[in-house]
Amino acid sequence: MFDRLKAMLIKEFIQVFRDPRMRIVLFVLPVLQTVIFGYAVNMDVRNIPTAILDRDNSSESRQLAATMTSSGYFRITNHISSDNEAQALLDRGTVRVVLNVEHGFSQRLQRGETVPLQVLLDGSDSNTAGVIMGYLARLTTDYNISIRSDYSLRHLGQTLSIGQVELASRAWFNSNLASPPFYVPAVITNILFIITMLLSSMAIVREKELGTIEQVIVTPIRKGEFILGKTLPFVLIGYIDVILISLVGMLVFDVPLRGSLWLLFFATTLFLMSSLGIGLLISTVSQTQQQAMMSAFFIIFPTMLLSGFAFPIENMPQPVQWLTLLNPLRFYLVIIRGIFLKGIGIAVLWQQLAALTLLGVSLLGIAVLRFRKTLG
Amino acid sequence: MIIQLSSLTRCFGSLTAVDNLTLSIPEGELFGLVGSDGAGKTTTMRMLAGVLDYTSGEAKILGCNSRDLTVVQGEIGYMSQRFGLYPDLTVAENIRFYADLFDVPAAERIARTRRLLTFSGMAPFTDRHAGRLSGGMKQKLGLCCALIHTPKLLLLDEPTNGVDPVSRRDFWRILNDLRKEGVTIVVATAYLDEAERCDRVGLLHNGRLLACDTPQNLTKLVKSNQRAPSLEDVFVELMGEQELAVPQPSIPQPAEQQPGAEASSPAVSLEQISKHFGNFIAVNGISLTVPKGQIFGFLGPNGAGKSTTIRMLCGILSPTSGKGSVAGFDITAEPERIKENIGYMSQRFSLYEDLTVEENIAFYAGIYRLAPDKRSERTEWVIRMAGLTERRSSRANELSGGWRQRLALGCAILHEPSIIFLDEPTSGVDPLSRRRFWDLIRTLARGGVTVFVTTHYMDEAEYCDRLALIYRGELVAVGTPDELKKERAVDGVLPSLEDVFIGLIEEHDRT
Repeated sequence: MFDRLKAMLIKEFIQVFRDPRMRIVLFVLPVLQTVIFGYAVNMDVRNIPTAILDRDNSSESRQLAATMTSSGYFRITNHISSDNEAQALLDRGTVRVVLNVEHGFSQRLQRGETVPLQVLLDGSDSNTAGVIMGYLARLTTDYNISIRSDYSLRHLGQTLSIGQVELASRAWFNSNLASPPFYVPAVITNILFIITMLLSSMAIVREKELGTIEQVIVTPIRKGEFILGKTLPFVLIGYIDVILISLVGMLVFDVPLRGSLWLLFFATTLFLMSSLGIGLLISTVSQTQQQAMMSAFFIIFPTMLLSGFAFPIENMPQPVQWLTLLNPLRFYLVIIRGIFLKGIGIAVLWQQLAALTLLGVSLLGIAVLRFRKTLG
Repeated sequence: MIIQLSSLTRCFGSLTAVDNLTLSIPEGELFGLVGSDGAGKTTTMRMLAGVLDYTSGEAKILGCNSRDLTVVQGEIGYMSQRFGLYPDLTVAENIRFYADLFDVPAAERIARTRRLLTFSGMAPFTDRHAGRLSGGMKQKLGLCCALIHTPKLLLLDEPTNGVDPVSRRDFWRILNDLRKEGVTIVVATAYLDEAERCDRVGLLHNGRLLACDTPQNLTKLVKSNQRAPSLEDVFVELMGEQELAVPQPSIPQPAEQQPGAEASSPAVSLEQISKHFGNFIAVNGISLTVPKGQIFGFLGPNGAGKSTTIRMLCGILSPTSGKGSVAGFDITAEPERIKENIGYMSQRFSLYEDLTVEENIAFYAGIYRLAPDKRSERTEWVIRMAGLTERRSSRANELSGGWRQRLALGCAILHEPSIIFLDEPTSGVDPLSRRRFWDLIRTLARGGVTVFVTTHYMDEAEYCDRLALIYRGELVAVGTPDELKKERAVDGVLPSLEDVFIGLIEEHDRT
């Protein structure tokens, strides 16, 4: 009954595992990539290299600098004495922030005036610049409070007590607001997508290129048996990679797995239908491995960038947001982050699961329909 | 001496591609380097052209060490197997490009181009894009490009591989004219009939020079008392000595064939079948019938439509119009039924290179759903038939041409089909393996199997019960080899099949 499928699977597994490069690509690279991305893909802004142009050179200005360094966000790397130096440092990217303390800073403060503090920011990385401005605003407020209490202590002999609001925030799902718990699940989705889509498309096109497909399609093998034989190995490899990357995430980066493992596997199966479907579709339109590779790359980039892995979909223009509804990665990402970080289940994720099912069935269906047991 | 090689050796890793080659070629000689795929012809030619370094020994070309030929580069014309023609440039533009590479002065270039184009018969096609030329014309253009700087030494690597007999004959006419002008020519070829036209021939096998002499002297080496031994007999005999270690395969008879849908119907029948690819008509209204148990030869130059026809018969390409049946099943309506009853071997011996001999067989045994007891029996049969007993765990990519070919045949007939289709089964295989292969085919045919085979080797056509000649998608002639020869006999003298073939094609071109 399953003779032919068995023969296909045995053949495919021998071919995949006999090639040492393939073993590395399939199992070692995903782990390495997770480790590297886990450390590197980090949106935290800390230890910002900062230059200070202190024309006042008073205890107040030094206290200001101390407030900044003790916060842990800023690191005073350069003490400079001219605007030209500031320009040069920002041009070279040596520092991201230049603080300009004007002459008379302390005197004006003591006179009770409002003194401007000039800050020059490297705005080429708009995201980081925004974060830095937030920090600076907070530090300035802290500094103001401290000079005010100093003032009242010195002049009134007592501390000023007025009511104030204190922020008591708690970040749910990722209490330290650490990057890895957010990115490791995204790395799983991206690696799984690339490996299964690219390799399944190449696997069939390779047979076309070598001419072996010609020999296979003159046998009574059924279309379904051939396609299953070509895709099932990648389903299995996909599961293994999901497990490997999850383990690295949990053990190395303390990513919590709060939800159900079974739901994770179920969602992965749904997602694999889409990625293998795209792979098969590419293989029906490509004649050489090079063509398949090119087509795959043109699909990989938009799919990854418009999945919400780094850039929130809500911020995209409305037409692009509609376009992302065709992106299986988008739904899988919500599911996998939900399972890992929030521990939510089908009750919450049913819409994403349904969307994945719909996309998977249609992509795979189109691919199977397009696949012909003929040449030309 | 134009070329002087002493103990020239080239290794690629553990493989010795050229082994201790000592040879000298005097000025004005037409030297043929003969051998099968992987014998070391291309490696030798590349070393002669100075594009590949040797491992040990010495090679002197026009008095220079082949490691540095800068001084004499302008005297050498080299045409590699895939001569670098630019498909988007016209014939004239290609020639001009090579003329500029060799710094040929403008006046000289124009004169020489004109001469070469007339000489090669390419003059009418000056403005055609190289990519749109036929295989034979591409080879001639390649030759023109290699000759534009009037070299003293011309190195040609399999210049006529896959070129039809008419173009091959033209090509050799040009080579003969060049020799008369005193150009030294070294030509590597797998065609032994071409080698007979050379002044001297070197037989290369597994990197070693087995013999080197004039064709006449070489044929004297044949010990068996054949009346007129050909170079092929020489080759087979010399190589046979080398390969004594290889056990001769015993060929078991295939089991009783299951009858098709109708026992009395012909194995193959085609009625006005055509196949168009866009504007291009690959096959144009072919009708033919092949009775059961025949060896049917399907001849024609490259691009004539042979493979397209075979693919339609195997149900992997659907015809644009016309009807056909194979083993009693309609080729458009029941292609999957056909596939259960046929064996097909494509010209590339499509084996899985990274799988071993046994794994390849096991794969096809599974695909054809052989019963478990039958499976081991047929596996043994294929391994013995292909002579692979000692190599059953070798990977397919480690096998040489002849073994691969027999293994591919074995995989294609594992399920004992009643009809087998072979698409150029012997291209690139050495003469000894070719003979062994045809012995196998004849044994299968005696067992009642119908064999439908395409080839461009005329000597192989003689082995067929019946022949069909196809040219530019049309059927030009059908008949037994004798019938075809008799039709074109002059004064009772029967022409060779090659002459018949060339005659028919020329006639077709005129109409």
